[in-house]
Amino acid sequence: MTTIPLDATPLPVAIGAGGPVEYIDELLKRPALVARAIEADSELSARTRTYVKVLIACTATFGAALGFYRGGAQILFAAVKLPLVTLVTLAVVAPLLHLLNRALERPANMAREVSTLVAALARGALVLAAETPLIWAAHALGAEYHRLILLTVFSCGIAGAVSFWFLWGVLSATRRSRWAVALVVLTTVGIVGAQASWLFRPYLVRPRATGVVFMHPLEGSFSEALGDSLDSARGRYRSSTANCCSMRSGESP
Amino acid sequence: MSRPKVLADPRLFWALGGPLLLGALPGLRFGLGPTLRLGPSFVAALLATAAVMGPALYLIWGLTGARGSLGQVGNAFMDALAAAGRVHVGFAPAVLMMSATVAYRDHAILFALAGYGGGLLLGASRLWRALRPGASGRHAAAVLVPWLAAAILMGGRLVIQFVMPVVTGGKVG
Repeated sequence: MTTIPLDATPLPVAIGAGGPVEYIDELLKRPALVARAIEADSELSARTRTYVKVLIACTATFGAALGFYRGGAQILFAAVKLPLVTLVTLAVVAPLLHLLNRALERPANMAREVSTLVAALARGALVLAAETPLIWAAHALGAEYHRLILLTVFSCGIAGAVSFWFLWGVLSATRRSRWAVALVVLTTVGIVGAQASWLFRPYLVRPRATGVVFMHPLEGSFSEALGDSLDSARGRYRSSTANCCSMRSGESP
Repeated sequence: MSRPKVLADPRLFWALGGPLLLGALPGLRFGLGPTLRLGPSFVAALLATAAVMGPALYLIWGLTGARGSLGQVGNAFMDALAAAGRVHVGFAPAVLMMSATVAYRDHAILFALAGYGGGLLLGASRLWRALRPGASGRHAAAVLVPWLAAAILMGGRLVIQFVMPVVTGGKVG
């Protein structure tokens, strides 16, 4: 049997060092290098542009996978809404990170901070894109609505943790007040991100919903909905849901 | 006629502008009147607390034998208030977003109060770092922790006193 050494036919390498492909490759495999490049202001605008595109593409992919639960226009709606959620969160948190750095006598540069946050969110978005097969597998197994909601929250939680780990690496370049900045940013991202995702719901669309809407009117909150989903996944339904289901079962036995 | 030196200090604008903005934003859910009253309420609570607790800090700091002139302690106090104001301005987009999108308008004020308190706590951490070289760690903690607790109690009480009537439309005793 003939064996071919791995270096005989090297994998194709992106032409032109420092191009978008290399930026993405670095973000995926060598995040510490990306953190150092951002610290050194190395090709900041080109990197940021690339990572914004990655962020939009990956979150749109994950959103579209969620939208397939209902199908039709919901695929497009979810693919548009999930990038919007991340961009709204980015827009809200970037000034906060900058002013926290200024207030706590840490190195502050708005362009660098925006680039850091975009890179962190893009790394999380890459994780989301990698988790998309989980959603497809759940669709294939006919997972029930509430279980799919919990799987989505779990997937986004993992992506968020990876994002935060990258951000922590960049914040740790200056040790002064890094815990305070990280705690405030993490809390704010958590609250704002949850609210933005709640605002732009639905992504999956409840099975009993008759039509598909781009956004619901203001009602309830993310934490209430998560609690309801946990209860429903355990078979404990709220009274309104129970009434609905018992009526439906009565109507069509 | 030239402006007094203190009014030309940019730290004053951060220190007052941050709470003013943060207070006004959730007021948008309650109408124009509450918007115009909530911002100044936050500033008034801060100014009243600073007016009482600022000189007290210098007195306790000096009486317990820590190093630092009136100018140095005053400067550190002003830096801390300016830092808190910067953080308040940083929280403004988040508070605006939350205020505009929460289902119940009473929740909007809670986010503003959380941002207000968070900013002031970060300002206190800046004050700790500025004063810390003037005394040992235990000495600084023995002065600053009770001082901060008293400031939180007094400031918190004033915020409730000023903010609740605006939000509820009634009086708080």
